[in-house]
Amino acid sequence: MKLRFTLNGRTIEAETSTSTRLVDFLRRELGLQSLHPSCYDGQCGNCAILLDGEMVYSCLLPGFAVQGRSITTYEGIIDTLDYNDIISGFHDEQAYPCTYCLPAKIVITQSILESTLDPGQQEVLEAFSGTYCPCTNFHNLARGVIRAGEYRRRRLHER
Amino acid sequence: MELNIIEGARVLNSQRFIDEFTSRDMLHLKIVRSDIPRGRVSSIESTNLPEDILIFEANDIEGLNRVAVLEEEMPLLSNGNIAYEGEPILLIAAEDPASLALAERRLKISYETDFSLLAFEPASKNQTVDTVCLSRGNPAKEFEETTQIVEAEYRTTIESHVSRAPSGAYVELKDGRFTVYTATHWPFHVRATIAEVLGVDESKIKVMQTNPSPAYGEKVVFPSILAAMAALVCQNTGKPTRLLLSPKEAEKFTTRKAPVHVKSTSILNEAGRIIAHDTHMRFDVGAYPLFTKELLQRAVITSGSYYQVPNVSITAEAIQTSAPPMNIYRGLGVSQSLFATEVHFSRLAEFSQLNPGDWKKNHTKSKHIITGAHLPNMPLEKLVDTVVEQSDFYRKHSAYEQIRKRRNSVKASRRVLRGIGIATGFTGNGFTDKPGSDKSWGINATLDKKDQLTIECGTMTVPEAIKTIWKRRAGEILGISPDSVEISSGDTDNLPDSGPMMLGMPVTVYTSLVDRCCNYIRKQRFNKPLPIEVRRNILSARRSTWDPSNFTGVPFHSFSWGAVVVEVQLDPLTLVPEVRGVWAAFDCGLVYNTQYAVSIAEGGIYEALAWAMGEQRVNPRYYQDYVIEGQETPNLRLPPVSVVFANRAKGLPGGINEIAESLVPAAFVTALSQATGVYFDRIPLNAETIQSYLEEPS
Amino acid sequence: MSDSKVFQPTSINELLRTYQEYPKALILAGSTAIAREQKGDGPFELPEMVLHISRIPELQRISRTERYFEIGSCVPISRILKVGQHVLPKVFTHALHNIAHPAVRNMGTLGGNLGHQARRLNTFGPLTILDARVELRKSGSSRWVQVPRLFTKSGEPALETGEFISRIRIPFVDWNLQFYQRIGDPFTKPKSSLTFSALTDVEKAEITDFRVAFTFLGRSVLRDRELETLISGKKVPLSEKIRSEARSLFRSSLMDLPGEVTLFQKQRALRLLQWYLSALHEPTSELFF
Repeated sequence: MKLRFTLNGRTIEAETSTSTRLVDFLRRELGLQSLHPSCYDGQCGNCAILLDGEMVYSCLLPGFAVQGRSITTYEGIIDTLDYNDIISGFHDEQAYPCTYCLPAKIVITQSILESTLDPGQQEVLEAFSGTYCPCTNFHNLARGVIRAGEYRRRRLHER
Repeated sequence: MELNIIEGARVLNSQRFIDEFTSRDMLHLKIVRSDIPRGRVSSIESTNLPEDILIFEANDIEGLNRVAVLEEEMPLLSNGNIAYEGEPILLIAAEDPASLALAERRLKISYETDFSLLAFEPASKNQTVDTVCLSRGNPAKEFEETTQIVEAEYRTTIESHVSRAPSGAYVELKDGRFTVYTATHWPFHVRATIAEVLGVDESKIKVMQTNPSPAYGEKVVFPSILAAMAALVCQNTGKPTRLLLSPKEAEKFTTRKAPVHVKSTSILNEAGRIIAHDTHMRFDVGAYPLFTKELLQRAVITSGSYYQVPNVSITAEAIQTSAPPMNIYRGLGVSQSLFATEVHFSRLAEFSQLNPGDWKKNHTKSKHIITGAHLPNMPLEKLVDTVVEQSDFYRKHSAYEQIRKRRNSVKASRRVLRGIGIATGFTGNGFTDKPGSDKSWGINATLDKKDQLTIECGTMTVPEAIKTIWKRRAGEILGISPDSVEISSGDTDNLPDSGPMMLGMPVTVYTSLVDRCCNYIRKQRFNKPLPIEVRRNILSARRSTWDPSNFTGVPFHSFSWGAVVVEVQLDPLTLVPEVRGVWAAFDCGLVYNTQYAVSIAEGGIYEALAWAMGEQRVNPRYYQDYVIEGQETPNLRLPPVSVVFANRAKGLPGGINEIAESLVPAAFVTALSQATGVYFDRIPLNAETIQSYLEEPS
Repeated sequence: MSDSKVFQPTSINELLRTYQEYPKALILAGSTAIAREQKGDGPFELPEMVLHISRIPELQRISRTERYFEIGSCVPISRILKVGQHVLPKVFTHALHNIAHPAVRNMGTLGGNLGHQARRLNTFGPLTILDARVELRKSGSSRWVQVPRLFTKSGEPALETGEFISRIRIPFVDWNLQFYQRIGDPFTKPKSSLTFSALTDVEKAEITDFRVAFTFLGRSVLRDRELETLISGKKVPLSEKIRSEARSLFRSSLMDLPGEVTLFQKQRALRLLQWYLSALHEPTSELFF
């Protein structure tokens, strides 16, 4: 099936089988190595992407779900100042996700901060409630996200 | 043959995962496993398979068909005998993964089924593969003469670990040498295993480590098995070969926590003092036991713990069954053993009429552990004081006791039931005795002319936190900046064999090796020209320190101590237990970064809660507030956890994960027992299990 | 496995035409159900024809009148919460909050949650007792049905050939006592999971309306009208005699449930109902525990 969609700001035309999961399409066929599916059941969150700005799990979606839509993955965030805010926030609050789940945690944090630059603990808890990786203590992560919000607020308002 | 890595955007860390390795003529490999738990393969029908399929079986192994782990071993591929369901029989390979899937469906294996399964309960005597005993005083005599006996049995079930990073291996052959990529915490074991299986010298094999991600012990031996399979096919075909397990397959056949059945019997005098104690632990180690001796020894030592009982008999037995190999799970038997011990001693504490916190403190006064080792720095009393104060343990325990005694029955109760429990104990860092007496496991260090120090450790992917500790310590000893210290990455060609990364080795044992290397360099620095190179190896304990045959002395390189309080509430409508709080105090030696240490401990506590409740994980969830009149949005909560570390000024750091994980289940179960008035004796405890206990006739 | 043919209509008329031509096509919106039902990490197993309807504007609309709230079947759960959190009945919004986690709520739709073929999921119970209605459309016709009529007594879909869920209409009625609880997870613990939804109106210590429904996260739903009739008109707090009678009635209804509902689920349901009946009270402004 032919697909046309926006990926990290670029228009992509590609073809894939209709039965292919979105995560496999993005990872294997388009080479997006940041996606690390492990449960294929929507439980771990390591395949998180932004679809039209909303956080979704790409292991649960068929490839054709992206038709005409816009996707942002970790690769689309990493070269931006948004990424710096997040990684600085994590570092300053001693939140060190492992390299396996870090991309997903960045994406989820980005989705939180695009919704609000001043998230509370409830919002962070909510956003991460569908993730599982034993590498990072949740409270450090929550503080990291809140700190990242603070850094982004400062950066955007100090322009 | 060029390795063609799928190009993609860069990620933060350059380490890759095994599913990212691919090359043009690569063979995909699949394991064909047995459908039956016990028997023999009688025939294999392989007609109608796609033309490009290659099949390999045990007969194709040029070397030895085995994976040896110190003194124990298991076959790589079945020689026809089936010892567990899922045992690898064949390997099938093809360039096209679709061919593999088709071949798997069309392959027909017939068996002569043997229905005499090796069960765990009941097990026959000849299923015992090893036994370890510790005895003090004359328990048998006391048991004959007494009248007040407390008997109980405890059980834990299998705990499996849901693997995150993909499990597998990629092997390629170039210029007569095999290069192996796999996520392993024991790369030299991978090399040795492949050399044996292929019948080649170890110098023909180079192992490169891929990113292991957080591991539970499955990266110690399991990767050697997968890598040997891929190497076997690569040797036979000359083509690069990749074996990649699906997440479900990895979860099913990777390492699991061995179930245990514990029978404990104790004698008390009229004052409630324990006069004698007998514990018999039986571990289901699956079809092919590994690290058995270490598992049993650790279980016995932590079971005996620090309780001062004059007459003691503790036995740990490894039972071989038809279950898949339990392999090695983090902790090696300690959390199961501590669970049974702490739940049992909490029951015994009731006879003393003392509050459990005080009862436990009384036992710490002598500062001895079961092996007779005197540990003057034993911190348990202070740890207990910390958690009972933070949790308000005395008041709550007393209040919940009163409520429980006044209640008619759980079923008649309309209100939530609450309880609070405490557990204390220790875990050990490092092996009880250095296994593999012929192996030299160590670390290299080199100080060059620019005062840059390079540390080489053969496990390659040392966690960042531990690297930071090494750099800091090295900097302190040598008087150089930690930024001048590099932890070398590499492969088995240029790094020393440091043994397996397990049982707290990196944080304790390897750290002490780094110290020893640096101290040597410091002494030689102004006497010898630079560069100065040194190697320091792990040593066996001197007999005067630890005598494993008599179980006397100091059994571990260092100890991690803990005291944990868990408060629970149980909704009598749903019977879903809810954790109201966990308070933990640990002494794990020197802590460099408290916030990070707390983070690790909290992670271990949440994992232990998940195990205790039979959940995959403890995620934030909605705690239901009842009839809703005004509340807008339900609130998510995580069980609140408070962790405190003892403030050690010097010494070595110790492992945190294991002690955090090991004490929580006992405190949880004890708390639930108080809440309901029912003695729970197993984990996991979910709503259905709780209901079955509540319905038992009293 | 040969490729399925996937249609992605962009208007409701296009959908109607295509579905009329291919009535056996699988209708997909958020896709969360198909992924969670198909365990394993392989590609999706899809039928020959698939109608992917997430891009149809008419099915994405939310509208409101004085009397009801109307939600398009393809509106993601998260958007319903964003827009309707403060106006929709709490029994319904709590059910929505309890669906999985945000990533699933961003994909999953109300139509999908309500119309799941193999299980009666979170929203089924609340929408049943709220007297919500569902519009079913097919080429040339449409009809409104009450939520329970989406399935037969044995739990099979009751839609006619070519019909699909287009809108869900939830009436605005004030209820002064509402309760929703889901225990367990339908996909990982189907044999012990259930939902309990309850609505009660109490005026001057008298119960003027009383509705309860249980779903057992397989195909079984339990709404006991006889029980509701028994309780309506009684004074709060309910006497032990009434509660005892209610328990007996409910027990017989539980016994009539098919075998897929386990004894444990039935025991839980009975306990929850018992508690709810004893908890009914004259409403106050405080949160009740």
